Formats: sequence, structure tokens, C-alpha cells
Amino acid sequence: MSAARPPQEHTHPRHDLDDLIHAPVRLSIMATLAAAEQADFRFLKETIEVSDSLLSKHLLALEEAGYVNATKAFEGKRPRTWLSLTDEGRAAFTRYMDVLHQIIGKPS
Amino acid sequence: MELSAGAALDEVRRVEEEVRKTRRSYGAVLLALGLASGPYWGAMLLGPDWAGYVAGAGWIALLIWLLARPRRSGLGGRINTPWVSRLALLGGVTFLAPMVVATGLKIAGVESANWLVASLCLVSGLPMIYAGWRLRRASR
Repeated sequence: MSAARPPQEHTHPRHDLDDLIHAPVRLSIMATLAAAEQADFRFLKETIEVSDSLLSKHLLALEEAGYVNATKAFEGKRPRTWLSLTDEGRAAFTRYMDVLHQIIGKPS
Repeated sequence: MELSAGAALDEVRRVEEEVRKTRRSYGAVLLALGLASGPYWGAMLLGPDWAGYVAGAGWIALLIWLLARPRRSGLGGRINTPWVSRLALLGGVTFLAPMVVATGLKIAGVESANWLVASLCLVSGLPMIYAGWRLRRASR
């Protein structure tokens, strides 16, 4: 009778990818906000090319994780939602990019 | 949908380029306004009548150029960099300063302070020039 195998350790860097960021729409949101210090909802929507509802859903997930900060402001009578990365979100995105570069085999 | 590392990096590069394009575009607008404001106020406030007409026509041409620039994805939305906003706000103040001071001097009947108006014309566009130059340099 063979002894039970110990749980296998994950060594491939892909296991370190942040699942919350590593999804098509959320990655685009995080990358846009990392490049632009602040972006409004419309800029995100047009750059990422998604519907309002889908963008809102993913933004909510990132806000709940503490990665994204949303600020509502009025310009005249028109409401505008400004979005930016929190410090935690910026750190998470930097880590995510480091892991991506490890996987690709390029220095970050 | 499974996202490969290569596809993820490609997407990051794509959106970074979108942000860069938007920054470059905004930088060009600030540079154009900043470079035009000094000659505009100089001609309007200190130059002969014909220079005022040329400056007015030039400003209208500049505004038409700004409005007619090609639209692209993301242009309807906005990105914001706090230091650029502060400089643009300062640029608005320095832009109006020559006109406000020249009008004040005229009302007060002071006619020997053209040097002050000329100095304000020279600095009127500096904040916008600096902001535009830094934005374009950062977007390379």
C-alpha cells in the first residue's frame, strides 16, 4: 500500500496571478487606471468598449476589494464619476505585472 | 474566458497607448493655447488696430482647429491628472490677467504702465505651455 502523497506545491508563477485582476474587463480597468491617474466612467467605457452595466459590475467588484476608488462630482448639472486606483490597488497591479513578466520570461 | 499572459500584456499595452494618445492630444491643446495667448493679448492690447483684427482672426482659427480635430475613442470621456488641472486653472488666471489689468489701468487713467501689460502678456501662456510640454514629454 502506498503512502498518501503530500499536497503538491505550486511553483509556476501563474498561480501567483491575482484572480481578481486576471479577467479581461477588470484587467483593462486596472491597466487604464494605472496609466491615467484618474479617469471618468465614460473614458473607461469607450476605451474598454463595454456596456455601462458590465463596466459597473466589474467596477463594483474592484471597489469592494479596495482596489478602486470612485468619486462622484457634478460639473454644472451633469454628474461625473471619477475613478482611480487606491494605494492597495496600485500595489496589487504592480505585483500582477511582475508576475506576468515572470511568466513571459521578461524582466519587469 | 481564459486570458493568456501574452494577451494580458497586449491589453495592458493597448490601454496604455490609449491613455498616452489622450494625454498627447490634451498636451497639444494646452501648448497651442499657451503659445497663442501671449501674441494674442500683445496684439489686442498693445498693437495697432490691424494687429487686433489679425489676432482675433487667428484666435478664431485656433478654436476651429481645436473643434475640428479628429475624434477618437475615449475622447468623449476624460482623464485627469491633478497637477495638470492645477496648472490649467493657473493658466486660466494668467490668461485673463493682461485683459483685467489693462482694463483696470484704463479705468484708472494710468497710461504709463504698458510695460506691466506687456510683461503679463509674456507670462500669460507660461502655465499652459509648461503643462502641455510636460504632458507630451511624459506621453512619449
